[in-house]
Amino acid sequence: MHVELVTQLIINGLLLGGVFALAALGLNVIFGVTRIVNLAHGQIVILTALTCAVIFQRFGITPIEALPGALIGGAILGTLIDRFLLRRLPEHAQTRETTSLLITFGVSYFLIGLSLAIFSGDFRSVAYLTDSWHIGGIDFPKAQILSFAIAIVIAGILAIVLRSTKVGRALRAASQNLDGARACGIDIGRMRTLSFALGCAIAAASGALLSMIYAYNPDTGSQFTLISFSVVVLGGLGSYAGAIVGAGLLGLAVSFVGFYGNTHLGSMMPYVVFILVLLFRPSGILGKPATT
Amino acid sequence: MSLRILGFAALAVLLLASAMVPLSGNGYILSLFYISLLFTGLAYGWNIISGYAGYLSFGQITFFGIGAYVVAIGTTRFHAEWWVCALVGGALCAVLAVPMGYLMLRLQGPFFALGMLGLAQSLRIATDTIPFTGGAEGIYLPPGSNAVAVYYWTLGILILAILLTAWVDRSAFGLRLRALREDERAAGTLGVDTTSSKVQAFVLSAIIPALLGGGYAWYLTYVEPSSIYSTEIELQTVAMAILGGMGTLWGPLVGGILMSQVSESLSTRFPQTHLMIFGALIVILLIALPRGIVPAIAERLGRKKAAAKARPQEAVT
Amino acid sequence: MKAASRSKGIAFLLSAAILVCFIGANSRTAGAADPIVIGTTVSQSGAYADVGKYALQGYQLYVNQVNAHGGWLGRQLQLKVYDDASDPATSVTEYQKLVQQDHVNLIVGPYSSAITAAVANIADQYKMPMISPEVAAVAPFKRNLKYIFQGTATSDRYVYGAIQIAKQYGYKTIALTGEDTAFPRSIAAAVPGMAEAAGLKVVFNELYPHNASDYTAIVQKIKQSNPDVVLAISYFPDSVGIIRALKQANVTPKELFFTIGPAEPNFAKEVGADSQGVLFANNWSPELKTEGNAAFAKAFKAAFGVDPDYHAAQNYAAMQVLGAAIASAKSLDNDKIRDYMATHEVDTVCGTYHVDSTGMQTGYDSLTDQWQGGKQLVVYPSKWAQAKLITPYSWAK
Repeated sequence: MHVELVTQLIINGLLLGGVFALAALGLNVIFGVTRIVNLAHGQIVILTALTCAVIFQRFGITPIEALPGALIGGAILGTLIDRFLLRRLPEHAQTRETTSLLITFGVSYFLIGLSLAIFSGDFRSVAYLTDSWHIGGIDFPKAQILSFAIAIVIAGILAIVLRSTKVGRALRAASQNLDGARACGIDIGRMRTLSFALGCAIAAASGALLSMIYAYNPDTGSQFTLISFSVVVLGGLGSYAGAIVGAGLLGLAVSFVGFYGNTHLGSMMPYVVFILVLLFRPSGILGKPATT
Repeated sequence: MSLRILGFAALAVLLLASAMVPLSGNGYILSLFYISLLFTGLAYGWNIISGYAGYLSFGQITFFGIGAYVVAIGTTRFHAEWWVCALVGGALCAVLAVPMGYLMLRLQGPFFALGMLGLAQSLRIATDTIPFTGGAEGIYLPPGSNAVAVYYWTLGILILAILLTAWVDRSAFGLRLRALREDERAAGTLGVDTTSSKVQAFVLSAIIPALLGGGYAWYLTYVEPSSIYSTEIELQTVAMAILGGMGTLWGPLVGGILMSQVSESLSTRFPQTHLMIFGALIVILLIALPRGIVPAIAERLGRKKAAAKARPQEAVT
Repeated sequence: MKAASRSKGIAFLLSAAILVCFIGANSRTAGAADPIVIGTTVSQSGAYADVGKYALQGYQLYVNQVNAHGGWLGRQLQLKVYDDASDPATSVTEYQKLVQQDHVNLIVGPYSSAITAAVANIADQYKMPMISPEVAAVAPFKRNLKYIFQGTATSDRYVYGAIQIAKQYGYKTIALTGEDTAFPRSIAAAVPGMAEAAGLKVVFNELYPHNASDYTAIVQKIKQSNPDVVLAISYFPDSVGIIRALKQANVTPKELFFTIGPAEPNFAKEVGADSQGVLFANNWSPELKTEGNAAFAKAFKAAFGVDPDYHAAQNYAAMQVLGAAIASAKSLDNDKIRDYMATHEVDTVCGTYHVDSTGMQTGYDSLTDQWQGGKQLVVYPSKWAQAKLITPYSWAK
């Protein structure tokens, strides 16, 4: 039955990758255009997950049904963060990046406090789609399959938007060459807001889906941000396909190392891979260079 | 009259007052000031690689943690004096920082920042796993009320850190760091050995937290990976240094003292909501004073001076 | 120049605000001489925030009840609580504040071994006895400190019931897992010996790290070992993660036991129907026939609108022990209180409190509960059992 086991490990790994990819896509959108790591990213995921848990238990609304609401909520939050906070910064490049980083850090603290105030420290989860399809001796967990599918759909829509629409091309231009884009008459401010809105919307969507897989409380946000950034780096800055591939590889690594090694090593994989990639292949699998 | 002299005089008074704190016999004031000194010291340590050299790091806690664990292991397994262990920890980090610096400093901007964070996290997980470091159980140091000793130790390290920063601020070395911060490629073409300068800064920024971490372990008499390799401590250090003013001599002092006092006050008066207020405060401060408090004050004073100079000398009417 | 005056104004406001905070916080006057002030820190934020809430409510209920009956020694009780943010250094500062600034009469212990280890030095420094309601690990009490006492059953008792149940029903093999942190490790360490003594075999033994990102790998390994019993020494989020992963991997052990996680009252709500039949260790249960327990549970529900969990009960019990000590000493003399707590037995809502010479708890025991129909019911030992055990375990449809 070794083949069955390995197949199961592969499936588990890929599905875990789906979870990672979902979490990372939002960060990638923002980082690609604004070069800002949204440190509040993980907290937005958590906040949405907690909200979905409560409305599921109170009103029976499933996270799938709540998805559109999550997207809209995330978009609004992202827009607010950019327009009211980040816009106020001076244009000087060096300080802007670092200060923006810290502003999102402040926002994450604020969101932790907010989550604690609303939801208390209790762990919450959504008990929906908790079982698997069992086909040919392999288990396909429903919640993870769904997250994976939606991750692909979101990435696909993102890719189409970026490639074919005017707005999408403007976003890509802004992420590739800020000054050049500005010279072409692209409103950089609007692009920033758009990327933030998009990034936070996706983060919220991932929170909704992840609520079915794990249990969260306001304290668990920060690890998400780091893992998401690992995936972004692994896949390559600015490359969405890279992020998906990177997430998949990372998921497989965690799954196999966790099984043949132990769970400690498995859990270390995101960090280890992250550092290794940064040191030896900084452009990631498909992206642009990160070093001088 | 020189503002600089005034500044140093104020600093001397502050340090003298700090030195007298343990004599008050009040354990609470002692703890409170210790935390302030600790974070201010950490902010100074961070300031060299991140403020002056411009390489923002989110992983200086790595060295803090190593320093703490060296003291924990040294005092329990080898029955050595704690401060000797702390010095060993500092030396160890200085040595480790060289290869680490060469590797990590090839990364730019947020990659370096988060790369360092990843390093710290990896170290935390490794410490969790290896029996030698006590694993997740942690290590219990001999119990005792060590606050006074650790306080003076920390004060000493802080003074050293300030002196070090003062030297960096005025030396050619500091100039080289600033040059590579502004434009590394240009600095290179001007003949600055950017790699060597960066690594030196990195080493300096490793020794200070290591020494402070050693004191911390002795203060708590217990170490475990999650309290020691704490992202909380890291991020608060960064926030303090930036709010005070990165790359300045006085920035970390102002940031460290103000922020730790404010944090404590907030936590006391707003037990339910202090995190929200703290976060909001950081955001507001960053928007209002993006380069930090010290540069903002310096700028204002500088403008006053320039305006005074520009005004034509008026005779009394 | 707008920019200059704007930042000038902000800088001024800022310094004023900071000054006010600073002065405000540090010019606290000493507490009035009349009420008895009990100081503590509670984790209201940070990693232990989920527990901190219940802990605080346990204290508050006791204080309110005692005050309604005239207080201790004819004086009203007052709680002074600070948030330790689940951080040892913060807790140290706050306890120093409680003793030096707020001049509290008594202190009670915080949550977690790490925080307690750091704060124990303060108890010794000021010679104030401190009962630690939540720390079940044994190591903190092996440090030769005279002023801390353990207010909860020691960790190794937590799995005893699960193993006895397995033995009774003829289950033979155990897969052991848990979070690789201090407390679960000390429990897990006791399992192989206990299992062997009961004639069972541990066929899998591996712990996972705190905040693991994935449980599927370890669950696959558990599946491969084909166990009758799955013992997971886990907290809340990992209990949920493992139970989900087990279900998805189609692993159906005959006995499913988690230690700490399912003891939280909201476990069934967060996990859903699969909670039915899950066994767990609980140091306390609302229907336990211990001293004043029924009244406690009822009063708690009335005061806070939710059922108490064992954290609330343990903290309440800690106050009961303190109360007994004060009643016996007829004063607030710390040494008399300390001696009482070191040597006497006290009946509390958690059972009978009693410590040995190192301050380690020997009186309290741990119960084995099971989730049935959305309720937590004691199933072992039979002395305290409220319901019949449902076994073997099966997944909800």
